[in-house]
Parts: sequence; structure tokens; C-alpha cells
Amino acid sequence: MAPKNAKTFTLIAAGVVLLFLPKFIPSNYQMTVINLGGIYMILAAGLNVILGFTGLMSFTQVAFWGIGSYTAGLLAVEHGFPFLLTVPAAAFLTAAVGFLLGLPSLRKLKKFYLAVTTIGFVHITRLILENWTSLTRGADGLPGIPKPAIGPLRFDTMHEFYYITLISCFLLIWLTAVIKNSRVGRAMQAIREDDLAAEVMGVNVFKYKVLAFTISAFYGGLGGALYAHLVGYISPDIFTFEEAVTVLCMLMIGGSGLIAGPVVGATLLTVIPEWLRFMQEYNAIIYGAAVVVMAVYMPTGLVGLTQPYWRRLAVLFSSAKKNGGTG
Amino acid sequence: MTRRFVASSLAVALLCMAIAAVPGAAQELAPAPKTFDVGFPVEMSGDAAITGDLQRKGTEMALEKINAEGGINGVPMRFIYEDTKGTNPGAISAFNKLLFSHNVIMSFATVRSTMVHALAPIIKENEVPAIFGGSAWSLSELEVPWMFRVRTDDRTVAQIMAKFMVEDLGHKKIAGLHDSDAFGTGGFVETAKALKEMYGIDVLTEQKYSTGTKDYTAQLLAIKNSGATCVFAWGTRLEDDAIILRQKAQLGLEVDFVGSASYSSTPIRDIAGDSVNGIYSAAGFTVANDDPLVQEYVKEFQAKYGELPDENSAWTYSSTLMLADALRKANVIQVVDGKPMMLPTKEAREAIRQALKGVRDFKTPMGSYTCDKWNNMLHEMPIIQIVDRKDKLIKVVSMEPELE
Repeated sequence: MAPKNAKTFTLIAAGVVLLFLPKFIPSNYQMTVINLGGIYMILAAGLNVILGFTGLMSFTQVAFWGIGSYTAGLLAVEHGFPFLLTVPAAAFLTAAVGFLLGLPSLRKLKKFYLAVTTIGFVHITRLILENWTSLTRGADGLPGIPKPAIGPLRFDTMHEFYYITLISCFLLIWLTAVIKNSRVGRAMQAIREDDLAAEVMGVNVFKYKVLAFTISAFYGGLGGALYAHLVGYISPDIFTFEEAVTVLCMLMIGGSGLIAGPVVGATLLTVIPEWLRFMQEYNAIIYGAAVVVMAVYMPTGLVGLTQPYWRRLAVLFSSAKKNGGTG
Repeated sequence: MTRRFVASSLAVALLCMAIAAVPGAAQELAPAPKTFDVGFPVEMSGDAAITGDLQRKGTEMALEKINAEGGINGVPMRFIYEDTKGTNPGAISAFNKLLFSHNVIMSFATVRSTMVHALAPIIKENEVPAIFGGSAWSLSELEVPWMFRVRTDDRTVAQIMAKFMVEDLGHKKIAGLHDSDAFGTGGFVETAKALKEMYGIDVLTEQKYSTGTKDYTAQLLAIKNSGATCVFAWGTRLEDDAIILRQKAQLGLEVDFVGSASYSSTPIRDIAGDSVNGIYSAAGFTVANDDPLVQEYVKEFQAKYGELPDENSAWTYSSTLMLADALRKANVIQVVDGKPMMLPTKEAREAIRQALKGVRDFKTPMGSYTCDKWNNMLHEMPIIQIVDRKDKLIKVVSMEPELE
């Protein structure tokens, strides 16, 4: 089988498995974990655009997640907006916030200074969500967010919601692949390698940095909207700095800058803590140790680690085909 | 032909109706499991792991007593714990695991109000009886008939605190300090409301902080500058409460301090040292209460764990005893021909719900449980003062439950 065909076959097989996955998983618990994993995947994919592609250290993803959650939740609860409107509204409004945050902070700030600014933004967002009681209902949170419905289709159960998560993840991961391989993506990667050199080569560094921030915010907002509709209740104490670090770990462990990085990282860091539940209070220690080991011994992430083997496999397939063809 | 068709159709319809109407057809008993499992999503890791540990000590001690008395109609009762990791998504995963992997008939639903809010849609959708300790009044407003609160709700506690500050301590210049989470904010709002409505007193300053804050100088100085003679505090995390008390002493803030229940917990005395002395607390539980039930519990707890119990272990101990009594009365497990048999899940859940609704005056170390129209089951609270790091009971204040 030629490498290209093998890749296509693998993708089709994976697609079929994912499509019928709920049939093989009867437990609501496991489907909840999968849905939450999917939302983390979207958040990590957004972070991949800003950190993986553009090289900007940012913790804002969790704040964007919060803004998206509250936008969708408030539109649905207070104004009765349908799911098909709350999700795009949350994504685009959050993208606008990302754009406005990027304008002042990305012009001068770099590296650690930018990171500190984004940490500040996470705290400010949480404080606003907690204290703007008339809008957000404060620390009590926002209950009663309806489950999604698209026309006659209802997504009341975790199994039904899975298809929304699956389609969203597929489209957004595919979009990161498109961005990465486009002119925009190449400009972002040039900035990541050396922003001064990129500028000399004619790349508008500021414009692409702001664009990366905006795209990342769009992903965060969309993930937030899905979370709000999935869980049905949101409160400010979810969107903490600790969660921002978790999303960062997902990307780093999966593979920063690689398309499959957020997929692998979010899956592992959602599933591993659940597997380790039987260890009760010791699971946090094992989980933490596993993250440290992976970070130290796999600096390119799990996907990065396996890339040479995939390349070697592709070469083997290629030479086998050549030999078969001439023999 | 037509007549025969109509007659046979009628006969089939009557037969179907008769089958559906057979009493007990929907209540077919199945052999009971070896243990009657109750779920408990609890903090085993994260920022509130200490309180989670204390809660488990309470349930385990109650279980020993319940199972020594024959369990639930002959079947031993058991708790299955899952770690909430101190987060809402963690609590949702834990609760779902209990419900759908461990297949528990019913569950506890955490002590943190925000987590209970996050679990409420699952409880409502799956119609699972759930006992919770979160005290935010907003939880009552959800009106989920499957949720039962086993600690005194914030609205009642706030009224008790306001009454104590004004009538017993004689203060009029009062400031408020609180965690900005759902519990702290809810408590502050209810206390400020009670002060205004009952005595016409406005709170001089509202000072709040995020859970896990390490420096409270700004908040404490603002209280000092406000001229308040008394401060009431609603804290979620006892580590935060301890730092507040240490810094209050360091800054020389000489005011009467009336704290929420977490200020009466046992570990706070070790962390805060002598700075804990002199404060008052609307404690959910106190070892200084001379009620024989409380004293017996304190003695047994000390013998088992070598430490004094606090509210964290007392509410889980007390509510587990109350639950076991309700489960026995609900006849979820029945002995048929000498064998323990159990109701089907749906019927069992409804029977448990009805039994919990019917709880009246069940005496425990936490107080007397009576289910009111909001499904709130506890309506009293001791006020204590800490002297030489020990509780001194000032009084136990009870409120009349609003029954249906």
C-alpha cells in the first residue's frame, strides 16, 4: 500500500470509528469525559495557533473560554437565543475581545512580559465575571443553560452532544492545518523562529501576531460556548489560572506547533486523570509526575517524538512500492 | 367479520390494560447486591483536600455504626468515593462516574455550593436522590425535588449571625469580609440583608477576596479605617481563614469577629495559633455542646482518629445516620423468603426521595433534621467563642422550619 493510500485509509478508518464511537460506549460517564476532552482539544488547538505557530507565550485561553461561556450562556438564558446563534456569537465576540487585547499588548510586549500580561488578563476576566453581578449573576454562576437544539434535532444526552463535539473538533483542527500551511501560517512560523528576521523579510509582524491572538480567542470562545451548553451551568471559579496551565500542558505534551499535538495532548491529559481515579488521593501525584517525565524526556511532545518513526515508515512503504514496481 | 375483528381487538386491548394494571408489576424485586452503595464525590486532591479527608472520616465512622446495627435491612451500606479535584468539571466527572460506572442508586453531592450547582442538572435529569452540604440559598431556588440539604442554609445562618451581633454583642457599626465565591458572596448578601431588614443597619464596608489569597492587609486595613466595631466573615477555605486571623492580630485590628462555620474547624487552630482566640463563629457543630448525642460522638471520634471532630466530619456523620434511617423506612431493601431483595432503580429512587421528604425531628450531633418545603433539613446552629483554642458554647439558635 502506498504511503498516501495508507494515510487515507487510516484517516477513513479513524473517521468511521469516531462516527460510531457512542454505539460502543454505553456509559454516560465516559461520554462526558470524551465531550470535555473535545472541548479541551479546541482550547489547546487555539493555543497552538498563538504559541505553537507564532511562538507567543499566552495564558489567555482560559479567559477566552470564560468569555465565550458567558456570552453563549447569557444569550441563551436571558434572551432565549438558539444554539445556532449563541455559538457563533460567542466565538466572534470573544475573537473581538482577543483582537482588542492584542492591539495594545502585542505592539511592544514580548516573551515573559507578554506572558505576565496574559496572566493578568485571566485574573481580570475572572474578577469581572465574579463582580459584575447584574450581568453575570456573580459567584452564584449561571444555571439553566439549555442543551443544544438545531431545528427538530435535539442534543439532550452526552451521546447526542458527542456529534457536536466531534464536528466542532474536526472542523477546528482542520482549520489549524489550513492556517499552518497557508501564507498566513508560514508568516506566523517565521515570526516564531525570529521575528526580527521575519520583519526584514517583509512580514508584518504586528499584524500577524494580532491575527494569531484573534484566531486563538475565536477557538476559546467557541470552546466556551460548547462547554456552557454541555454542562448547563457556569460560574467564574472554573476559569482559573490552574486551568490555563492545564491547557498549556496539553499542548506541550501533545506537541506544540504540530496539528495533532492538541488532539493527543488533550486526549491524554483528560483520560489519564480519569484512569488514575482508582488511586484516589494519590492520583494527583502520579499525574503530576507523568507530566514532568513527559515534559523532560519529550520536549517536542508525543507527536513530535513519533514523527521520525512515521517518516521512516513512509520511506519503507515508498521503497517497497518502488521494488514491487520494478520487480 | 367486522364484529369479530372489533371483539378480538377489544379483547386484546383489555388484556393489555389488565397486564399494565397488575399491582407491583413495575416493582419487581431483584436480589439485593452485597452492599448498598452510596456515591460521594469529595475533594481528595486540590485546594480543599483537608476538608474532604475530614468528611470521609465522618461517613466511615457512621458506616461502622450503621452496619453494626444490621446495615440497610440486612445489607451493609458502603460509600464509594470519587475525587472532585476541587473543580466543577472534576465534580461532574466524579458524579457521572458514580452514577454510570458504579451505578449507585443515590449519592452525596459535595459541600461546595458552586459544585452542587454544576451537579444539579445531572441530578434533575437522572432523578437521583442527592444529599448535599452546600449552603448557598440559590440552590433552594433551583427547586430540584431530588436535592436535599443537610447543613443549615446561608439565609438562616445569616439571620442567626445578624441577631447575635446586634442583640447579644450590641454592635451597630459592622463590616463584612468574604470569599468572592458563591458561598462567601451568598453569605455576605444574606447577612447584609438580615442586618438591614431586621435592625436597619447598613454594612460599613464590604471587603472580599479570591480563594487562596495570601495577603489580606488591604481588606483588613479598609475594615479598620471604616470604624467598624464588629466584622462578620464568610470564608470557604480554612487555610484562608487562618491567614486572615493571623494578619488581623498582626495589624492590631481590635474588633469582635464573627466568622462562618469554617472558622470553627479544628485545623484552623493549628494554622492560626493563638490569633484564633476570642473570635465567635456560627459553627455548624461544636465539641463544647453538652448535648449527650454530641458528647458521645466526640468521644467515639477521638477514640477512633485521635483528634477532635469538627463540622466537616460532623455533617457527613450525622447525615449518613439520617440517610440510613430513611433508607430503612423507604423499604428499598426488603427481606422476602429470608433473602434480601431490592426495588428496581427507578422505584428505589422515588422511595428514597419520599423517605427523605418525610424526615421529622431526627436527632444527630449536628442537630435535629426535619425536611422543610425547600428540602432543607437542618434549621439550627450553635454560636461559639474560641477560648484557649477551644470551643466555648455561647448558645444554640433554632429556627422554625417551613413545612409543606
